[in-house]
Amino acid sequence: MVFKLFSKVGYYELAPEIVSVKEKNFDTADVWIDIENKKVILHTNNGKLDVVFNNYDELLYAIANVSRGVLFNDMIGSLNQAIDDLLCYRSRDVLETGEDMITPLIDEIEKTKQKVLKGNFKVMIRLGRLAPEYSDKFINDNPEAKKAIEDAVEKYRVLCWQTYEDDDPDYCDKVVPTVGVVVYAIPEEKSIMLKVDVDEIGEVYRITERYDTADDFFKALKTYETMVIYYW
Amino acid sequence: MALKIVSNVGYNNLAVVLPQVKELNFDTADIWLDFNNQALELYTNNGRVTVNFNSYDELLNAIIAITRELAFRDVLNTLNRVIDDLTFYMEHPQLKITEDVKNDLLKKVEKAKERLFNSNYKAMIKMGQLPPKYIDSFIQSNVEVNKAVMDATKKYRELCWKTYEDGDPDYCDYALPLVDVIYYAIPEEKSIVIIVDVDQIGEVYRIIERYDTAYDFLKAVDEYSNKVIGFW
Repeated sequence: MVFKLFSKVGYYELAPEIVSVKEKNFDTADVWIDIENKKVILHTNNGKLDVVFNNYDELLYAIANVSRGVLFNDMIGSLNQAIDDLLCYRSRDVLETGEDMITPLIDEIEKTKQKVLKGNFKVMIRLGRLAPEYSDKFINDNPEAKKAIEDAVEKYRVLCWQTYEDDDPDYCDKVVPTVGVVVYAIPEEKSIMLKVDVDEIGEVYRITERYDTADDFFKALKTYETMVIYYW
Repeated sequence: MALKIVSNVGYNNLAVVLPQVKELNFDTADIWLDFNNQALELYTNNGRVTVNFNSYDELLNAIIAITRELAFRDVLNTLNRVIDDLTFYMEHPQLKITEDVKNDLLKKVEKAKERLFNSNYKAMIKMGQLPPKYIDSFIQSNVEVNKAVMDATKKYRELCWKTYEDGDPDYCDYALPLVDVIYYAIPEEKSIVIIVDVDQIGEVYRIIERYDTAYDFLKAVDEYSNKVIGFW
């Protein structure tokens, strides 16, 4: 069983992190991981490429670095785009609001850019949602998660009554929000995080399992392969 | 007729605040102030239109309505665009950062939007800047402005020494920053703001001239418009 880590990663994002890629000629690749065979499989615009690692530490190192590189480029791109829009998007430069709302926002974005540039962040890879049968089991086996969801359902119903306009007198008392358990891998921490999200309310619970070795981390990750509904 | 208030205003934006144009057929218009005839001149893609007013108060109210509406739409569109940049710009949405830096930014943009909706702002029209040949006499004619520019020049020279790398031992002691004198009209306050801006230092002095009547204010706007170089 293999699963896809990222789509459309550029050659220049992959080559510095996965050395054997340097000799290959491609523009972008979808990156899959084959845990059992300690392998990264690249489906490129110039064919398929298998990169086999000697051990799980090497595999973990490569995945952590590729994800950092990709996220870094994404974050900086997004922040730069926001700054560009604040500076240039306005169609009427000659009209201003007395209070300058734009400059403080640019300053804040610049501060965030500095944080990202310093690299004090860790990457979470969102693998997917637990399939309903596993999601139900997780909630039932975990009293704290169950309690958090019950509280969130109450809030959801309160919100429902604030906007409900039809005439069913019981509607919002019976309504049940969608609950999802999202699985994240954090390679740099060798940890897997499960986050419970409730529709309209957001995150209500999270639990993180840390592993001592790369072998244990990948072994645990492998157990999720068949439990998760992927986003691709 | 000297001051162009705004360029390229769409029919839909204008019709909301200037009922006189509702019956007209055009897509966009440039709007000029015609002080002597108590009117606004619209140069549309379908010919020139004069909108006359019964009094200078009415004319001023129309200018306030137009500039507030356009400044509001402009800033709101910019902020919405920034929210989109921060939310959807990521090419790899399955990657997240453990510290959610973007959420903080999004909250700040939302707060700026709220302030905008609460209407705690006044539209300012950037009329233009004083031609270079008048700047020296403007600075010399006002002791406080002169002092502010001299202090800013000192700071400018200190900054210069921090980055200067060539071998001229006197260069920064003689360096003179560019000084701009920019004129703004604030219709809601019936005031004209004159801002003295020094290169690398920013605003160092502002003069606010307030007028009691719409007539006096618009007359001053008209006179200053003939003195400054517009930003169009």
